[in-house]
Amino acid sequence: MPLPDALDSGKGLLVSGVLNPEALGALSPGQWDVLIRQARLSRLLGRLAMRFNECGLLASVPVGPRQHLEWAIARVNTQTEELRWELSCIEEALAGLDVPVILLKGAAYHVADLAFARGRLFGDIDIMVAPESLPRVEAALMLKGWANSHHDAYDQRYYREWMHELPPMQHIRRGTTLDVHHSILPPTARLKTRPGLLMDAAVTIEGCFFKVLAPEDRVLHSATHLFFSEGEMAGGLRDLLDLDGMVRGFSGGEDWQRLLRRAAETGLERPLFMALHYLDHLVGTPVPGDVLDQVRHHYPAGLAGAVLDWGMQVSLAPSDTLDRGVLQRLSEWLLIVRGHWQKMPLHLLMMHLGRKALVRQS
Amino acid sequence: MDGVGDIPARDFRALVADAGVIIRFGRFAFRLRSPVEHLADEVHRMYRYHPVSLEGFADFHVEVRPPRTLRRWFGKQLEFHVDGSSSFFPLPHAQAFPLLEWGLNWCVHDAVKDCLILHAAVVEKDGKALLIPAPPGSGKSTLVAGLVHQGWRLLSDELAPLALDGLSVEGLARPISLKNDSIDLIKGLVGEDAFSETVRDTVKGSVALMRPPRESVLSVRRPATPAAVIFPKFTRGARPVSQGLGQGAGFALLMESAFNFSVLRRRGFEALADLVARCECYEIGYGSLDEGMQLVEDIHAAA
Amino acid sequence: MEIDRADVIAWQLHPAGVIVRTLDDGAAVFHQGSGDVYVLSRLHGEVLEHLAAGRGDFRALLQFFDLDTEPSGPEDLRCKIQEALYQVMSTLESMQLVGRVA
Repeated sequence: MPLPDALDSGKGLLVSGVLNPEALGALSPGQWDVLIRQARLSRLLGRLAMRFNECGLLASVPVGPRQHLEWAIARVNTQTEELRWELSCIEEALAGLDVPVILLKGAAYHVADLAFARGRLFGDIDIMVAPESLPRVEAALMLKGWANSHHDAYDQRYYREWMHELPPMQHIRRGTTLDVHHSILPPTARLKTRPGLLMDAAVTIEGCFFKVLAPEDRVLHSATHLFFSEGEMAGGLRDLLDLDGMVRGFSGGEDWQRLLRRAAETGLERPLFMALHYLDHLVGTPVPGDVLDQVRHHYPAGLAGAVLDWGMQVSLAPSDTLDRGVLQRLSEWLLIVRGHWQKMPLHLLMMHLGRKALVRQS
Repeated sequence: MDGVGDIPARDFRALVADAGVIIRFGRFAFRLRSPVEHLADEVHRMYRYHPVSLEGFADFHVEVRPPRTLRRWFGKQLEFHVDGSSSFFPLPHAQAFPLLEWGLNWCVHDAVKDCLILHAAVVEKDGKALLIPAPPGSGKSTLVAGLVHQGWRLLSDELAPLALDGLSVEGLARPISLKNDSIDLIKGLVGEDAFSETVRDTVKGSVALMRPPRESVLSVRRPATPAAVIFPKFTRGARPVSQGLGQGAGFALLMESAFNFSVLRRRGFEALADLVARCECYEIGYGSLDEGMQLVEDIHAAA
Repeated sequence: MEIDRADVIAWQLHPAGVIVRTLDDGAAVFHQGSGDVYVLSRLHGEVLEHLAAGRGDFRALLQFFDLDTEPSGPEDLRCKIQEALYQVMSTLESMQLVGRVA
């Protein structure tokens, strides 16, 4: 299907390049320059490179930008090997506990071998376990060399009381980071879900120790993570294109109905509707008309919707420099405050922001 | 394509301050933007023979400029930015050019994944290249400047991109970074004109950069075959000694100086193993530049 | 001491694979799983290359490397050689280059 943005706009270049590189045609050196940088800053260079490779287009790219695509492929291959090892180490630490361990986000897309995850670069590994097995999981990981990276007593308390994950754990020898979740939203967030529902529906993968969330739940989690967690919009476009890849995998109306029902069951309709709104507006993802009608019905109306739209569009648009203009910084501030507000009751938010400001000054 | 020196200095300054210029070194190119006039002037002199263009593709977009935060009011400082973000500590205004050079080194070894990037100098004569890895303070750059003055071709002073088949090493032909006493020593040989201003009180002491010779810059795209690896150690007053290192010792030392070794995994491992299988590794100690150069000539002749 | 039971231990290479490059003064070793690189002695390298063919029992390793001295030889020398090989195997184990066959 045709993409909504003109090719000469930067956003069009990057989104088209990732989704449909054949349609790009010949680019000028200046356009390549913008495309490579945008892709790198949006953490999409690996995915762009793999798409070019899959389509047999790599050889036709001029040598300058081609080097960057080839370097990105090398990084992807390294990541694949490192991930395999890291997962084998986590498995070794946790296999004896006999508790289900669910991989989330990047590592999950990878082991589930989802097409859009080819070339997706990510940093940490995220796992989710039931809250009651959390102490045993933490102890077993510590026994195998993972240590808490936040030593500050305040940080420890912050995570343990108000967050949906342990403080990030770091392996003392390898330096790799592991996030151990027991939910996908902090217990204090206004948006509520029942993580048990997601865990119960998690699916096994042939020959793999880890489970991954069910396909609909992966969409809901990714949408929740993108729109209802702390700021962090630098990878926003990357995450939006993950969602694009997930829903493009839906084969028909039944899949969509299952997704909508599941969103209602888990209480995650708002993030889903936001995700579908932006997939439709910014990426041009094919979403059935009746589903879009529901989205329009739920999307914040009036000024609230307009402000949100503006903030999101500035944040999700690719940029070819990390040197953010005032406009972008303002919108990110808006999103960070929004992110915190979604997660914490107001008095806690004030305490936390106050402390963050103090730490920065000292 | 024009060389940097073909643009009048005043125009060059204006271009750097405005949309930036693209300067090519070997197979890489960086776009430089900076409001700092003395930096533009130094680049204009030190990159005189390097190809320049105003438009096109650049591998690294770099900017050297004052911080935008309150820090700008606490004394004059400059930051090095790549793609709009800065992960370096700001440095005093006077250190603009060394800051750019260090930043560019980082850009290259962070990005490149199709060769092993060794922290080493490379010089070549008669088709035989020598790799000279060394920790700071070993006298590597002084030795290299001396050899280049004797007519050796400079491929690189800081970073040696070694092909993954271990058979060839690429040139970058960027300025040579000299420190402390070696600045005057080499100035005495090659003259003041090839030198940048000396910047005092950097973390490495006094630093000055030396422009690579025109012939080295013009032939930068011609790779060279490594023939030997030399680990130098200058100690004032020491007598000249040269001894062969075992392959394992050479491998271990080179591994320490390979920036992207871990990310290349098996390919980096094989490249280094191939290198030490083909090239003898030597350790040399010497007390004067002349003695050091003679030891290098001897190894070169035997390789 | 564990070495008393060494006779019944057998080792194998880590299933992810180990690449050994023999050098004139040692061996460079790459662990294909962890990505770790080691520079070890020639003996370490030879043990790894021997294990590439399959499992290695302690007794068989001693024989292969001509380390299995005659029972008539001085007992303490025999112990020392066994201990040395056991040390080599322990080092390789700690690097996860080899593991014990269950």
